[in-house]
Amino acid sequence: MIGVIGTRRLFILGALIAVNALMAASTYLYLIPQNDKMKKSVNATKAEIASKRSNTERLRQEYDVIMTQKQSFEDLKATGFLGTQDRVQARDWIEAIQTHARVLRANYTIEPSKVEENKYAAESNQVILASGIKTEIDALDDQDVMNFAYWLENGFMGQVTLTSFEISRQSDVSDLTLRQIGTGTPVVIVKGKVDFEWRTMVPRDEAASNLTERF
Amino acid sequence: MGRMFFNVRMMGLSAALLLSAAFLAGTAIGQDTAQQPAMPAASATPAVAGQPGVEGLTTSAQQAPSMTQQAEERKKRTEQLLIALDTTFQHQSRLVPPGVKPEEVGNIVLTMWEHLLIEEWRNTDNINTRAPSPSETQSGAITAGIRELSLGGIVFKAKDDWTVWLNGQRLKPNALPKEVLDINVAKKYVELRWFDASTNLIYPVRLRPHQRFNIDSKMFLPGVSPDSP
Repeated sequence: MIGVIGTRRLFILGALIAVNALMAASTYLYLIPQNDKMKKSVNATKAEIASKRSNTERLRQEYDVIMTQKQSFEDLKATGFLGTQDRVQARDWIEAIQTHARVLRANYTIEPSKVEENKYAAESNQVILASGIKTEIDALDDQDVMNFAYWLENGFMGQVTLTSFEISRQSDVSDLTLRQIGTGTPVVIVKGKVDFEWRTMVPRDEAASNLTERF
Repeated sequence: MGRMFFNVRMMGLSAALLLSAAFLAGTAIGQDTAQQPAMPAASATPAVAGQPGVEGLTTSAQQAPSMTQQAEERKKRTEQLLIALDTTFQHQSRLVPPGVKPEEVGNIVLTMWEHLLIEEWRNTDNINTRAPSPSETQSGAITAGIRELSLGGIVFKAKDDWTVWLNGQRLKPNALPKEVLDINVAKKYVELRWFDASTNLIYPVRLRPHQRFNIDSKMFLPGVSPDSP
């Protein structure tokens, strides 16, 4: 058989088999693991990119939320929610609301502040100051009383909640009352009693000192 | 002789004294007249500045500007407060949308007509009406007279022969109440000019039978007034 094939050819065949074996060995022992390794690396990089992308998206969303919260914070600050309850300023405010609502007379009392604990406020070492506001209103029209309540609830400093609303008619709309109105004489046709709860948020220490100063 | 000489000397002395007194007096008068233009010169100083009478005004106007200034300051302050109120309202609205508006609620203790009447009388600047007298306001008695004209029916024969029932009262051409200043009766309607003493106004009204006119609300309503007999 060696004579048929020939030594030279056998040698070449053996060499080819050896090269083939070498190639197979290199493929299985080096290229495939290397390929797997590279694939893993690519996947890891892709995952990292995806993670970075999601992080960026999350940051963008957080930024939007922060901007919204910042706007809310600015609004809260502008409404006077983050501050002590200044009685003098409150008086001016009620006078302005009285003018705006066109009520004839608004007699009001602001009760002493009480400290209210709130778990959300406590997280940032803040407390809620709450004071009751009782008003007695004389007006020409029931709409004026409601306007007064509406503006005090939505335009007053801090956060104001309507707790009680009473309205009663005092006199009839006759030609006498109309003539009085026409000639500028204030006529009380409607009386109202409106109670509110006024709340602001202050740091705990400030609240303590504020209350100590007052009493 | 010596006595005479003494008298002459005395006369001379007194004449000299008189002369000197006259000179001194003349000098004094001269000073007064010289001061006279000086006085107005002080008061005329503003006139030189082109503001005649300023000095006179300053004394009388010192109080007036202070009052007007106070009023202006108060007005300005109210305006500032109203602006601040509106700004706070805008901020509050962004945080929590405001609840029900008073306009949406409507009237609670007044009727819509009463509300409209009050608004009309309150917002009209040139209402020509008589202010209620103290007796009216104190007694609380409303002597307003008839507030509603209600036409019951018409019997028309001729221009000068008719009968109408106004507020349950029979009216004839020769029997009219003093409030009716002029009346024109037709078959289907009555035109009259009604004088309302309480508002001092004359209302020209055209009424058909079973129709009434409310003077306060200035409205025509169907049907005869329940108050009329």
